[in-house]
Amino acid sequence: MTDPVKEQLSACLDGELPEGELDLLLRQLQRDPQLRQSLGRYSLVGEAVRGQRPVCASEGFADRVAAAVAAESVAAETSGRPVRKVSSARVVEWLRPVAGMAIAAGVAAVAVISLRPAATIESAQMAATTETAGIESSEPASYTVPTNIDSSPGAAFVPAARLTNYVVAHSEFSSPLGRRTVLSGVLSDDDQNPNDDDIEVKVSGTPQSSNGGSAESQR
Amino acid sequence: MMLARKLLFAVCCAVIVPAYASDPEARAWLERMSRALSTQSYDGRFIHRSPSRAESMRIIHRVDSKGRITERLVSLDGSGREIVRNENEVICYLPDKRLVLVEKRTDSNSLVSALPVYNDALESLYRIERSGRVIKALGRKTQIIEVQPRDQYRYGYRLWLDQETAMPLKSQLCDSNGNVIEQILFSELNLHDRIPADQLKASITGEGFRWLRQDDTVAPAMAKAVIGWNVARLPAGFRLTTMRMQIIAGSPTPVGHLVYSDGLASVSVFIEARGAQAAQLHGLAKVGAAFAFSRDLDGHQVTAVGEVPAATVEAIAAGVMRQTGQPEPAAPAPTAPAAASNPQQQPATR
Repeated sequence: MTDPVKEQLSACLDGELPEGELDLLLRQLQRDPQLRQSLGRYSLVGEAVRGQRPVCASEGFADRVAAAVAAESVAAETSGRPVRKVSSARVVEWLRPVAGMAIAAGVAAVAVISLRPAATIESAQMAATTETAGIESSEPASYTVPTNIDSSPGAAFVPAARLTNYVVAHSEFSSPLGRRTVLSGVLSDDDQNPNDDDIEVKVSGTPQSSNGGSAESQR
Repeated sequence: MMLARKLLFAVCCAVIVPAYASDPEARAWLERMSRALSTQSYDGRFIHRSPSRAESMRIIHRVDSKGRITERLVSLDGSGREIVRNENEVICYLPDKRLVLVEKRTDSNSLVSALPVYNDALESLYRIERSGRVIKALGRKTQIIEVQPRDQYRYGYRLWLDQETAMPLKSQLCDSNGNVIEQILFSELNLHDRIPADQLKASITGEGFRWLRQDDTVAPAMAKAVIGWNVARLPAGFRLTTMRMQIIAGSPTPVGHLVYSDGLASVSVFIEARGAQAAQLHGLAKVGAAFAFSRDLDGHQVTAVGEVPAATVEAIAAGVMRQTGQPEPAAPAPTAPAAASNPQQQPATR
């Protein structure tokens, strides 16, 4: 493995890799099975994960890893080629401890949860807690830190999906306003752009009972 | 004596009833809103804002000639997520996760039964008030209606209802102290007589994504798995309204689903046997403004989910009990009102 890639990976694990490079690295990773294999053995990862220094993934990283892992497992499932299965397993194995947390971060869009991988890592907990800090801070002090333990390898994706399942199933039994709130929550992303004050609503058309000739006039 | 009793009764009524008596106009506004939301076709854009983020959404809400509702909700901020909800199913497209979730809707009337009824029972839990004057907000004349929870176990709403259409142009979800949990702000709203069906199609096909669907082959006999579970101590006002089996997409085992409602807020309790592939959920989690709390019980995973404060899902999850000594086969009907109907609720379509 070349040094630039090593550096990139290290930066990536620290969440310091610029967006563009991250894309590149992951694309490279997806294209190149050999790179993935060597990554599987790449000791830095183990150190970063089991070691002392906190692993903190950026949001972008989390999302992309999540997408990459999902894409990988889909590819492995559908193609059924053993080679791909191995590589997918390796990616998962490699990403697993970091990705556990990273995926949780990615999933934060769906569910703000912290995900503690099998090897209970304090640093991951720390990192994951920072992910949710924005929301946590508004909660009462007695608040339990959300914990989500996932012990089966490769299943990191499932809990969030299950929670989404529950939430969607639940929404059917909510009042219309409650449902809108709940479903918007499912759709919401982590992006922060709270700058939309003083909005004017445009209402066109007429109430149901009368005729709505002007419905399109607003366009 | 008789007279004295009658008098006492009258006095009691006079004392008790006005305690929760409120502005009938406020109730009427909420009913108008419910009606507008369930009978009106519209499309629009709104900002969904929570303390940590704001997201713009597009909504297309179609009511066809038979009164059937189809709704499409699209995130406009990059993720490309969409939810299409029709009579039969709810489909969540999560392109950023390369995932599509499909939830079959088994109860065709859930839409109607979930409509809140603004009566005295509800007003013992919520204070419903109307601001006396018409407020100009979002460039329209609106009427502000407040639905304030009387305790900390539920959220309330502050609603800006369009004077002309009763559509909620702005709504805030608030806790019992009046703090805003999140809000929905419409920036555009178009009412239509008809909306073509093709506008309700998702813009993504979901091709190449992982599709999680429910397995229809799950034996209905498993339905008895839900019997024998209940919640021992419920926060005030919550009662069982629905008891059913939920087939979870991507899982071969059915999940018991109990719904508790206070007439406005609702909490679902999911009971799932701990298996190899069951999701391992523990403790508190958050999805938008909804909280979930999971715990282990008797080889099962119990999860309470609802658009309620964390304390409520936690309390309800903690109160879940499994009745022991229940004869396994031919179990008698559960003691709780298992039927999906809540006596307080009535068909709301008119």
